Amino acid sequence: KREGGWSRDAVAVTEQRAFHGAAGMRVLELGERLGVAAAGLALAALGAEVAQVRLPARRLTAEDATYYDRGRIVIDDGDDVAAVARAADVVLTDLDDHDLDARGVASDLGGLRGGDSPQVLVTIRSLGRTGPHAHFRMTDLTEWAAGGLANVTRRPHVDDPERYVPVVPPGCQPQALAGLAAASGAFAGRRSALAERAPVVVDVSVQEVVAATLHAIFPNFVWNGNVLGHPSTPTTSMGFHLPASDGDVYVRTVEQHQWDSLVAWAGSPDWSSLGDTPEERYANRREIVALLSEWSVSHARVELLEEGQRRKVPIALPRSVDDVLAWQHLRARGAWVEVEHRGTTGTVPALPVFEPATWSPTRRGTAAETLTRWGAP
Amino acid sequence: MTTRAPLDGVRVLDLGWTWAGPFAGMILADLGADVIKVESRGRIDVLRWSGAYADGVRDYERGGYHTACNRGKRSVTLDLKHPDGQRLVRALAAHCDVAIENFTPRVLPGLGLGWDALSAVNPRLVMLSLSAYGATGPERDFIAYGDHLLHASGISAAMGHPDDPPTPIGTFYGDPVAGMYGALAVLAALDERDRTGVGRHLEYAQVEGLLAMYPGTLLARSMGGDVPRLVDKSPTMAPHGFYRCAGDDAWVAIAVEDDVGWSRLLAVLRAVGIDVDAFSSLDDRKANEGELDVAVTAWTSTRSPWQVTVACQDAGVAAYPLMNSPRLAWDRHLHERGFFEFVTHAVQGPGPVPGVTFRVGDGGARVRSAAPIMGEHNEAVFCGLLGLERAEYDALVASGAIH
Repeated sequence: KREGGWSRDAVAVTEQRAFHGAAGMRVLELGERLGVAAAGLALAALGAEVAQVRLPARRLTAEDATYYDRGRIVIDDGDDVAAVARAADVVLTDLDDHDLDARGVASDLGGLRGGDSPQVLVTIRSLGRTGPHAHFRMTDLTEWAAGGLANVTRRPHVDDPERYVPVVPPGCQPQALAGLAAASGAFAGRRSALAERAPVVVDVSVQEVVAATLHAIFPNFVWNGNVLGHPSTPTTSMGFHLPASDGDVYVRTVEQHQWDSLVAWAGSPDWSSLGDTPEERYANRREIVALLSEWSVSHARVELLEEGQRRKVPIALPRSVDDVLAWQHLRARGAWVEVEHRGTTGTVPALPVFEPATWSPTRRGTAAETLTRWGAP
Repeated sequence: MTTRAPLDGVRVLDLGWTWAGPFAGMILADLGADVIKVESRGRIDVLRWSGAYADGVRDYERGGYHTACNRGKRSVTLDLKHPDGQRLVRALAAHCDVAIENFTPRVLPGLGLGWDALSAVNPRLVMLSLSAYGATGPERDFIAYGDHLLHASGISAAMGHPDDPPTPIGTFYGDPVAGMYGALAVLAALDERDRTGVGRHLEYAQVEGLLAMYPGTLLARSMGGDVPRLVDKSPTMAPHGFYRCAGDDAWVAIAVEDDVGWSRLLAVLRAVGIDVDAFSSLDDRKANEGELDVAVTAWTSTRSPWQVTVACQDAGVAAYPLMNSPRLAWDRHLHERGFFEFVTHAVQGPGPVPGVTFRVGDGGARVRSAAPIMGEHNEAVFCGLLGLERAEYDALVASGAIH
């Protein structure tokens, strides 16, 4: 349900007709980690019927479980999971082959429903289904390390080796990304399976999902030998914080006209030629930020934000989590929904694009009931 | 046998620029869609001007982001402010299944190319709009890039050390998240369209996508819970973090998941003469985490990340090296899986690009060709797909609509 008094405006409501992209898709969700739950959530939101096996070794925090476990039919691990797998269009899992075999779920789909059935098996594994390290024991932390983003995500103390430590983001970013890939993989795999009248296996490697985002980081090394993240490699980001009278703002100009506008806004000071080109701005960045700070500090944050945006200078307010929860823009968009958690009500972000107007409540079910509803495969 | 490409026969009009929209288009191209990237010579996509540059030559055909993200696409060049350029976009939309854009919400409608205009010529069109702050709300017209949104979304404030300023993820993270959400939404909408015959406008706010990447933290805080900045620590595991190894900026991540895992790591440490108290409960280990980290570092700092990883994995403890670019480039596991794919670019020559976000069967998702050079496919698209006569095409080039 929508949080009291908050709703999308009329235009958005008109455009947000019920989105049932996965209507008719029958999904078995058989996982221990957040990625499978995230994929199951997306498919359930899009209208799939998702039967979730609640595994005892599940590794979700209570808060994440409240968010990700919406819209499911929950069946016991001891129930006839293999029969549900045979009836499903899509099986989502992060279990290894041994654990799948123990439940009678063929790890390559070959034995599920016969060789020519257009079923899809989507596996999320830390390092994928194949390769010499596929069997490694992994967690959110080691997946973050394996994908390559952790190396460029460090405490901002490049000159102090003791403090230049890699840091982890909130949430479980590698698994959340893998969940998006797996949900896409369910749709993509189904298209191929239906076209070929044959089962398809979708292989989601958490490491590779993260590494697939290294569009600047990897070429920097291949072409220039630069190892971004290494203390000797200068950052290539031109973003900077400027002090305001009541906090700070974040600025990064990308296009020349944006820089020109920022300089004009600051009164076209006589030092502005320090930043005539991107290369000069980079070379002189410390001096430029110091000089801009002398100008910005006399303005309030909101004043800098609004006037900067009016002048097409990309500028944002760094927000705390509390600031985000109170942010009027998000409230006006109806970007939050209320959920029951630990016997009371809390707030979670609405799913982008496909948050349904109402969720079917998560409830307990059985394999037999699920099979009856789904019908014969 | 190679798996049939899931989006074989699907055509995408990629009006995106910078990274978010093109990232979504990249995923669809990897899945076999014919993705036509619409570019402008008057305002060249900043992704083309984003380094590193092949061979160190600053040139819009050599930018690393463009090379990686626009692989497998075709490129046409239009002046979107020219009436004939706008007409050609609408004509292309009539021949496409999907349109992608990531401008602020006012831009395309202002050019006569918004959802109303494009769906009027093609009611079956699925259109994906990935603006920074969404199509509604008081800040809808604000401009931002992925790093701005990391700060705006609260993620930067929730990570790092309590004494540090907000600490962002080290890439423009809002863009790939948007691209992945967007590709998922498009795939779902295509299935829906195939059933109903009607397209859909998919409206996404990049900042909201980032919120959905850490919902548990937001829920906890909305109920008054603390949101500590933990650097690399975990409330439920210890030892846990990045540990220095022998070598230049060499690190390994180790995560001891439970008491059994700790007993295993403890045995490894004691076997090499590092004495540390048993600390048999998580509470004990959290209370003495600093001491534990000193002991673990005493072991890791004399070994390479892979030596530590192999020792931990052999003992049943989660560990992996902190992977930087050279480690990834030379990683045996990724090579055996064929993650990095080699393409031959018309200007750059052969080179590797990061691979697909997920595999579909045997080759159903793959990098299909190098990134296009600007306008490489003008004739093929405008004369071939749209069927323009040569004289009309030449006139449109002469007028600057095609440029």
